[in-house]
Amino acid sequence: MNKDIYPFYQAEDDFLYFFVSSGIKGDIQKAVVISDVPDSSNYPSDSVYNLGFGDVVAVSSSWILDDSPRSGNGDMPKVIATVALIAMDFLREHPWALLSLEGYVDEKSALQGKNHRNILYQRAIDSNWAELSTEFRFWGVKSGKTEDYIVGNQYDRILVNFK
Amino acid sequence: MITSMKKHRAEEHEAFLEELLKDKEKIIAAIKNSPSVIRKQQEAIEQLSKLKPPFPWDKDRREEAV
Repeated sequence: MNKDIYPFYQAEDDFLYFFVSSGIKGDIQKAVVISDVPDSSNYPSDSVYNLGFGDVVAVSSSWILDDSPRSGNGDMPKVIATVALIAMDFLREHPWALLSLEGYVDEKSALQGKNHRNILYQRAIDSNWAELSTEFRFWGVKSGKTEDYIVGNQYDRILVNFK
Repeated sequence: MITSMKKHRAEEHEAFLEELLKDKEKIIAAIKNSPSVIRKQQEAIEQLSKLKPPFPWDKDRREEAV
C-alpha cells in the first residue's frame, strides 16, 4: 500500500505494535494488539488471531488499550493505513495465521446500525484491492455467513490470510 | 524549523517508548490484558464459533495441496 503511514515499533517477541498519531489535537499514542483466539472444535483449524486497536492510556499507574475513542486528530486515513500495514507485516511474518478484524462499535455506530471503523478498514482494503488481493486472501463475515470478500460489500468481520 | 519539529516529535516518541518499555513485561501484559482486548477476543470467539464448516480458507489449502 503506497500510503502515507506512521512509523511503528514492535515489542519484541510480542504481537504488540506501537505508533504515534500526530494531528490537530497533538500526539496520541496508539497500539495494535494481535492476540490468538483459543482453539475450538467448531471453527477453523488454522491459527486464528484477532486484531485489537486503540489508544494507549494510562490508568492507575499502568497502561491499557482503549478502543473506544474517536480521536478526531484529523489523520484517520493515515492511522488506518498504518494499522493495515501492521496487519500485513504480521501476516507476512506468520503466513499460517488467519487474522480476524472487527472495528469497535460505538454509540453512534450502534444507532446507525453501521460499524464505522469497519467501514474505514474496508475503505482501505477496497481502495488497494488490486495490490492486496495478489498477496492476501480476504473473506467477509455477514450475519454469521462467510463469503469471499467482495469489494463494496459491508461485513461484520473481515478475515484475511497470506496466500 | 520543520526539521526541528520533526526531531522534537521523534524525541517525544522515543521518550514515550522508553517510559512504556521501562517495565516492559508488566506493561505489555497490562496492555494485552486490557478489557477492550479481552472483549474483542471474546466477540471473535463467539462470532467465529458460529461459522459453519467447510471454511473457505480450508478449501483453498486443500486445493493448494492437490
